[in-house]
Amino acid sequence: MNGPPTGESDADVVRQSLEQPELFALLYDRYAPDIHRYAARRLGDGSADDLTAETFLIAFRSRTRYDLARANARPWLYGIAANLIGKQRRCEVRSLRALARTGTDPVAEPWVERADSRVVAEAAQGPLAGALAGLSAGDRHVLLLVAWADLSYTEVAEALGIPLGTVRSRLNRARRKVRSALGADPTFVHDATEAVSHG
Amino acid sequence: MDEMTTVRTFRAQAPTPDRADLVGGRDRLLAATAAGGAPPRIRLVRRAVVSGAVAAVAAAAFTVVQVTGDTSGGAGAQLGNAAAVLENAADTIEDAPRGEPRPDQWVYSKTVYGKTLPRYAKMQPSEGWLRYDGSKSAHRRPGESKLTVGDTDKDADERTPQEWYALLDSLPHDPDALLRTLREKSIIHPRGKTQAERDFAEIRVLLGHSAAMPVDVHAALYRALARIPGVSVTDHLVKDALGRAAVAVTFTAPEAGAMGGRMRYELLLDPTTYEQLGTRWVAAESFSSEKTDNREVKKGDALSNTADISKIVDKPGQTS
Repeated sequence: MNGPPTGESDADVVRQSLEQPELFALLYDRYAPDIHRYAARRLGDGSADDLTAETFLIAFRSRTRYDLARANARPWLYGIAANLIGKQRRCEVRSLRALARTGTDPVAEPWVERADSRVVAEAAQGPLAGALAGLSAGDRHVLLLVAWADLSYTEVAEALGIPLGTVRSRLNRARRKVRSALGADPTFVHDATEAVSHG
Repeated sequence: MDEMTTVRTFRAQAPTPDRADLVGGRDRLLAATAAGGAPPRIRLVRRAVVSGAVAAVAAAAFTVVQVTGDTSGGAGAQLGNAAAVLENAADTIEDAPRGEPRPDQWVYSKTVYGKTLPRYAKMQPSEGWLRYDGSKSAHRRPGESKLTVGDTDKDADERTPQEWYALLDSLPHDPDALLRTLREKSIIHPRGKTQAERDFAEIRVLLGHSAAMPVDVHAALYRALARIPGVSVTDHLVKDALGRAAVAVTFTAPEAGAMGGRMRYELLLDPTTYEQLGTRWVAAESFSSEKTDNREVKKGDALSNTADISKIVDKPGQTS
């Protein structure tokens, strides 16, 4: 799930698409499902179709600047999606606050009936949503790119165009806030272990 | 459960999208590849009508000889001689009645995909419009009449047709100076094992913008092509994806990527006007590999085969 299946690397596809633009559709076929699901998870089903389309249009139009040394285009695409999601942060925060307040998640509502089980304890959802809503946009991007998109720290740095050290500090801050919202004692968890497993 | 796990499981029921959720975005992307990103396609010149699918290749070859007359400038007479054909192409292009479009005009582009291997064959013909100043784009889905016009993304860093024109206009008209400049500027950052491969990639991408390109630069690009080792011209006319007769300028790299020298790239030029008609990527020998879905590719098979139609029009939705 973290890379292209076989054949050309993403960088190969981007390079070929400079001369044969239509080949860029191969990247859509590889990553649109991931981007769509990520967008739906942050903003809801209603925004995901458009956001996915926009992400790939922007990627296509900026492909001349793609760093061909990066074989995998996932971080780049998630970075573009994150930027677009950032433009709708009021909407995102509104849903999170609604969940914190009412216990009902406007974003997840359409899926709940389909779900076999609800993994997150009901009790944890409200405080978590409240904590996510309270994060800065930058901190929220880092946390959710790691937790939901399974990007490594280095990939998050690539995606958002920020230094690796900033990724770590933003993630630590975001985790600390989520932890305290969930009622754990923030001093017990060591960030270093997580950093090693993702670095 | 630590807090990262809690975050990971939050909204984890989010469904994986099905085809119907994604098809709209894919269509929009393909429309964009036809409209804005598509290289060649912009042509102001009234292309001489080569009677399309009807014209037999042999008849077209005959026409070329008739049209061009004497052997000094005749493509028909000199097919197979890359230097002569490309010099003739450059001379012809220099006389093309082409100027810079107005900012409020639109570039109409349609790409038609010819028969290829299955993985590339999924491509439907796509058509789109891009305003010359890059401010708006429009597209129409295959088989539908509804035209969607929208503003382009201001953050996009793809050059507008107008910006391409300015960039191309800054290039030298002397073919050797042009090659040197392209190596320094590296506009498309081509990769390739050899200088020849990188030079060819650079030029074929720039030729994609030939519609709105100063004719002197267009001519210089043809002359520069003739200086690249590995470039030749087939000794017979071929047909593009629309059945139009074409001169094929070919390039075979000694070690072109993972396919080695087994593939050759073809730029298909109109035998009369020397405007670009399309491109093909053709097997130079029979082989099979992972990149061909492990199917046997026979000598002469096309992995990519496109015909381009492009015009400058006054309004989106117009095709001529």
